Amino acid sequence: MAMITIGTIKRGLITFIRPSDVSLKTDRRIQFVKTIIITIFSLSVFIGVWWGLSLLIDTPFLPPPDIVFEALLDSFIRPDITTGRTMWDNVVTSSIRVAWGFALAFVLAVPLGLVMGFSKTVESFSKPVVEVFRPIAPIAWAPLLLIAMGGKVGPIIVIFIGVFFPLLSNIIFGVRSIQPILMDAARTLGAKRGDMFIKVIIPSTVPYIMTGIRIGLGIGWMCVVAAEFLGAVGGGVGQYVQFKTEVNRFDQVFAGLIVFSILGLSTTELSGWVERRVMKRMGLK
Amino acid sequence: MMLSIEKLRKAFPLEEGELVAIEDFTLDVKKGEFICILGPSGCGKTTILRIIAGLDTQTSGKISLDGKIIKGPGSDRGMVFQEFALFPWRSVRKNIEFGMELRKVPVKTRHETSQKLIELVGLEGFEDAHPHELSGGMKQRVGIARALANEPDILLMDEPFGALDAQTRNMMQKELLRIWEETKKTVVFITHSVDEAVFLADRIVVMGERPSSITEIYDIPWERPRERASMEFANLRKEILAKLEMMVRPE
Amino acid sequence: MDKKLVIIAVVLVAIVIVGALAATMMGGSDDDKVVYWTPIGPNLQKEALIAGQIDGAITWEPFASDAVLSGSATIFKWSDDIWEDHPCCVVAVDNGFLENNRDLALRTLKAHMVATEWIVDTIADPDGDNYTKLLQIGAEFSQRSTAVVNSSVSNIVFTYNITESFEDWMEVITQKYIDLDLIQGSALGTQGYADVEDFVSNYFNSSLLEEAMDIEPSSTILNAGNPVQLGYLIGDLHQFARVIANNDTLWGEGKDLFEVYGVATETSVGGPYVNGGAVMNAFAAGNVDIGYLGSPPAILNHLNGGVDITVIAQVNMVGSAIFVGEDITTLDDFNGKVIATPGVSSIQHLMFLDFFTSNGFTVKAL
Ligand SMILES: Nc1ncnc2c1ncn2[C@@H]1O[C@H](COP(=O)(O)OP(=O)(O)OP(=O)(O)O)[C@@H](O)[C@H]1O
Ligand SMILES: [Mg+2]
Repeated sequence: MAMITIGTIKRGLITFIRPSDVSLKTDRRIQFVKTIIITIFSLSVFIGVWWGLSLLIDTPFLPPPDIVFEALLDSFIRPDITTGRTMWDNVVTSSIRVAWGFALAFVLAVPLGLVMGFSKTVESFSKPVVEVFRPIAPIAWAPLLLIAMGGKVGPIIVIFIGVFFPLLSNIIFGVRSIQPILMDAARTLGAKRGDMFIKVIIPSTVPYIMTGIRIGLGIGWMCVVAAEFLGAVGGGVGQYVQFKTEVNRFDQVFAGLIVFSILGLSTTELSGWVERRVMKRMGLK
Repeated sequence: MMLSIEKLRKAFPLEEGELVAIEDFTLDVKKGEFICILGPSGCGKTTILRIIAGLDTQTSGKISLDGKIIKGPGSDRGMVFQEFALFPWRSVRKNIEFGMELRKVPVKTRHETSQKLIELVGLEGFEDAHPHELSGGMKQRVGIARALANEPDILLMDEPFGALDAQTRNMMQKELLRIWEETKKTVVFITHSVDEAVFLADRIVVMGERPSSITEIYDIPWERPRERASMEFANLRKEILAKLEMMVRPE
Repeated sequence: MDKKLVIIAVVLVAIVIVGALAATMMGGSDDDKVVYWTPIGPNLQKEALIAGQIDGAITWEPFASDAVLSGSATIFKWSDDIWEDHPCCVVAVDNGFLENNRDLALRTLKAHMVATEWIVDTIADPDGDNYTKLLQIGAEFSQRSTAVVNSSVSNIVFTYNITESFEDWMEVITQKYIDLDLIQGSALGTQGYADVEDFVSNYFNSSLLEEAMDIEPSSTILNAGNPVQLGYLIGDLHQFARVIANNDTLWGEGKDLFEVYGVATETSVGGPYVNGGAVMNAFAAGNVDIGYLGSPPAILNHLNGGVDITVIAQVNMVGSAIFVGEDITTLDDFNGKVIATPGVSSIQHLMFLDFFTSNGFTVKAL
């Protein structure tokens, strides 16, 4: 909707009235309801196709949805005999791993990325190292790290590696993408190098950091699966899926996959929401 | 005499040779004077302004402000950009307070000053709005207030109203004159519009084709507000237009 | 700005870290006795114990005897003392293979029977020449000393008959799996069985043993160029009959016993395997025609995964054990300890689960 600007003369000054956003709200509400209905419909179609397919193929590898949902519910209610844990325990374990790996990556990537984007010297020093490590799929580290650092720390480091590089590249890219004219403006207003860093570079990089976080979390969830498959200590959804595959409990395998989907989806959705909120707060849209 | 530009030369190095944007540009600007610089596109208007602001350095020549040689950006010169260059993550108030924050002005004084400036540029009610919520004219009001907040001696404006529609532009010209009269700042104002220059300036500096220096200076000692419909306005405008047209070589 | 945002960001990161720390701390406040398990192949368990990764293991022979004789472990319990006279490994055949190559299956089975009888006779006469050969063959196969093999074979009962007591045990094991919810109650029906008894009487088929009884050696190889794919476990002396039958020094003319009965064989793709579940997966993938594996995984992955095979003979009874390091002497000592099993789909794992859950432990994966 176009902005309505109404100018009125008052003491020789022009003042403005903010645009009304009443109709905007109802518009959005209708759009929201529409999206929900379509989502429900699409998911129903998906489950229907799944059901049909499972009946048609009739193989234990593709159990029908009702059996899977039963297994899913059950997995949350009581600990299963293979892992000795409830799905809830496993979710907590996996989430803690992702959180640790993520926090580590965040704490290191943000300052490093900002400095690398800002200072040519630091960049030329660290770029070769970063470029050597970046193309290595984080999962490739998993077997080594699990042996070298054990089943507790190893998975966290795998996730760290997974999250670190996309976050770092995004931040460096963010610093580079700052409009030069904003720096000029800051300089004419008296900003020195330090001021520039704190008051211009960091805030204008925030959107890129947020995007990096969202992408990084998605990768984090993929890494945790790999690490848990390879022998993480202390449970986890990945471990559950692996053992259930071994005993051919495919209903429970699918339950685990659904949990992964929900976890991955909700973290990226959540960070997407935070991203939008922050952007809005910062007036960046 | 306040701003003094002496034999300014600016050459940009190219892959082969150099591009001489400005050659032998000399100008003195008096305190409180409203100067407009006119000239064909690419003649080096922005370059001159950026050098005055300290964002660029000249190849040779001397620029001084109140006798002090200009070495870099400083809060004695405020700049207003055609693209507004507002900090999108800062509210109107925070944009205006940016320079004061850097100078560590106490919060209370900062608020008082920014409030005064918001009133001066007519943005009451929009203190907490972010730039993306503002129209072009409003954005440039913020740009002007932000530049004024540092209490500069001189206001450097690079086609500040170039991105605005004709109506808003006319309104903003009046607003600017009002602010200028209230604050008594020296203004160096770059524009493409002869009409705008004649409406605003005490003196109009017309620049020629690259490598450019000053082709002509027009004194306009008329009263303000000026009447666009008047004969003398129309005549002067025609004269300058003709001058400019002569300079633009047929392509 | 931005101060507010920086504060929010710092607080958020702090919350995540503190939350993670708190949750990490809270992990171990269980009052129950807990024993942890982790999957480690039997051939690597002793090293894991020495390295301090685990506190004990449940394993098959010769790896129990090996751990003890090397001085790094003691036996906490023999499997015979957990499940008295329990059956263990079996021979299973892919149903598709059986349908198209019944003769080959029977001949392979016959070799298994003869080899088993040879082992039983040889063990009965430890002073005979054959016993020395048996020890050497066993040592070579398991990469352990003859002393270890000597000890191992005394702990294993070799047999091939599918008896009534064997079938009773299979019913017990199936029921245990169902009770532990490792097999869904509905799986029997899904696989077309009325109940546990119906399943056992169909799935464990003794009729092939009878048919194979009268098979005579063949002077020609019947499947030259298309060897039967044999699946079996890494260094498992339970499946010694397969090793003996595959040996080409015992049966004359440089033939192994399978060849004597006209069958060319080879180790299946991906074999030897780390546990019975892996053999079942190889069956499912079509890589194995005839396989040696524990009876429990044969039950588990058939009922859960629909792996289409039939069990046609026994291989051995008993012969597994829990060995432990010096930290463990009593049952209570297992609290908080880590025990290796060959993997979730192994008879040892089921035995481990059964033993510890019935003794009041909570069993958790490490
Ligand atoms: N950094 C630079 N490097 C090389 N050449 C430059 C650079 N900046 C400007 N120029 C050149 O110098 C000349 C003057 O540029 P400037 O931007 O000052 O012109 P202008 O008069 O402001 O034009 P306009 O009216 O279009 O804004 C142009 O030809 C431009 O291409
Ligand atoms: Mg310009």
